[in-house]
Amino acid sequence: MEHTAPLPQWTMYAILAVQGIVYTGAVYKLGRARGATAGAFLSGGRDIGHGMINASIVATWIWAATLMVSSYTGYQWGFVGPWWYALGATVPLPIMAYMGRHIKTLMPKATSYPEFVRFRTDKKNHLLHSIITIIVCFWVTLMIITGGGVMGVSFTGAPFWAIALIMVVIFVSYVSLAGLWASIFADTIMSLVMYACLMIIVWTVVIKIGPSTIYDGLVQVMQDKPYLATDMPIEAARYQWDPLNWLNARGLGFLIVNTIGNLGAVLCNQTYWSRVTGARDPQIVFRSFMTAAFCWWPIPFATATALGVTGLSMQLQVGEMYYWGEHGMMFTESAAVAPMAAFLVLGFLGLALFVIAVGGATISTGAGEIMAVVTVIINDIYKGYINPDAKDKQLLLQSRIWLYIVAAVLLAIVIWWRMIGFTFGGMYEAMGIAFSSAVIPLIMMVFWSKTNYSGVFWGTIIGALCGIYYWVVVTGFDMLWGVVWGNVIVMGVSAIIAIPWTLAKPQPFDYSTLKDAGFEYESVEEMLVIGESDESEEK
Amino acid sequence: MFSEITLGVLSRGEYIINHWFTVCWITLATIYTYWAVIADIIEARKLRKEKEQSS
Repeated sequence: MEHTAPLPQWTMYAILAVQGIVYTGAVYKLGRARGATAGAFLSGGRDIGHGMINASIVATWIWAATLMVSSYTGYQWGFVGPWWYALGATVPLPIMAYMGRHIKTLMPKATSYPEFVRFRTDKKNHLLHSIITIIVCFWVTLMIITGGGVMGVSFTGAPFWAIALIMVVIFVSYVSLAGLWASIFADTIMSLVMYACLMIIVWTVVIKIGPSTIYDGLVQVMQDKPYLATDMPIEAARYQWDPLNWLNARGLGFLIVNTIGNLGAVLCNQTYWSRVTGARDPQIVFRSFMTAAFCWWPIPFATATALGVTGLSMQLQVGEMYYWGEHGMMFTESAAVAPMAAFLVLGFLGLALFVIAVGGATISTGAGEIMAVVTVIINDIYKGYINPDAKDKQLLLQSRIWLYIVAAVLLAIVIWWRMIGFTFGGMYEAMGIAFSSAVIPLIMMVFWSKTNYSGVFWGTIIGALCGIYYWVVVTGFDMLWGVVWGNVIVMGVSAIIAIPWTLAKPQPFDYSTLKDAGFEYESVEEMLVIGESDESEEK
Repeated sequence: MFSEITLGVLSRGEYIINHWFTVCWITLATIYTYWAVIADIIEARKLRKEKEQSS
């Protein structure tokens, strides 16, 4: 019996509905006091402990790509792909640990990282970083909703617009109740569910197939040199013939792209800084980002080894139909190797576990990213420039209105791009070219007291322009080595401009002036007490 | 070209260690994440009780 979509439509709706009901119900029951004031809504109450912050960072950094693209790297470059995917994507987390602890200590009242930039440097840098982080968060959300929707369509046949709509409704429904706290709370539940799903998959592969059999399959690939990834040119697909080599050349290129791209996607992304804001103290920030690095690394590492490398050892060929018992599933593209391998090893259970994990990753990250966009719009743009004296109720109302507006715009763009056939192919690898020029300037602002304000401003802009020019004009969107050098140029040029400029014209800054700096909100603690007393009165 | 490269190529034993390394690591990460969340819940309850008693 052949199916173009191996799972029935209702499974997608059921998975999303259960998640939506659980998150919204739990947030309403446990955390709606956090939605009582704008300060608490945007900052999460600033009293969240290590366990939730750690789990939230892990869940937020797991995108659909973490499971799909990492497995693709295992399928493309053998055992080294999962290593370089995990290494490149984990590097930003320890850096965030040091930067987050430093900023939380220097400026405990900061709600967003552009707010730190504003009080540390000047308005032009503040506006630049506000715009960058809004674009980063927006772009990431577009990618993950599209990725989650496409996955849902291919696995269950449910309409794309319906999946995207339900996902966005879920984000908005629980985030609008309690803001940042709701996002972190839902992340926590989701990370526990995702770990459980992935553990079942990883252990089943090792028990049912075993590393020795996988090794034999990889040796066979080296000998047979089959053309498996038929959805890409043979020049790219031939790297599959070297699956047991630490020095697989394309794998090393991907390490460079992945490291630089992810630095921008984390350090210039307010979603991760929101976890810094929500944490109880600087030590929790440091500990949580460090443990999140330890806990996040094995997710792509183990999943891609279990599914991507196993898929390669099985010599799965794109365009072929594969069967589990009498049930068949088409291997449509290289990027779908993970669900394909999960289906072949665990049948429908494997596919369902994978859909739950990817659906959860999409919802938790999407909610966090939308919340981050709202935080920057309200905290940095509205309160920073448009209405600095806004009252708490106004800010809270604006936060919720902007949450709905951002969600509606995102949904409209996602559906429109789907209708005109725009794809995100390669955009994950190209992310660094767009965002990473701000990384070195931001690190300089945090740790170098003599950083020149114009140096970091122009370093960010010129670095990005040079990288984009090289990738678009010189290489014509080359996804093989053009994107690697584009990433290197972006970061190199920003450093070459910002560092010498600062050395030539230092602008000394006293970090102790940040202790009481920040936009003023009504007391979060006081309003939380009010919220809690409201709840007890209702009871 | 690629099958002729031997520098950096894993032996069977090394590959098996690599695979088990991934499995053990995700198991440890799962245990740690669950433990940290449970510890957080216990601590939050303790803090709430202390707050209630003091008020």
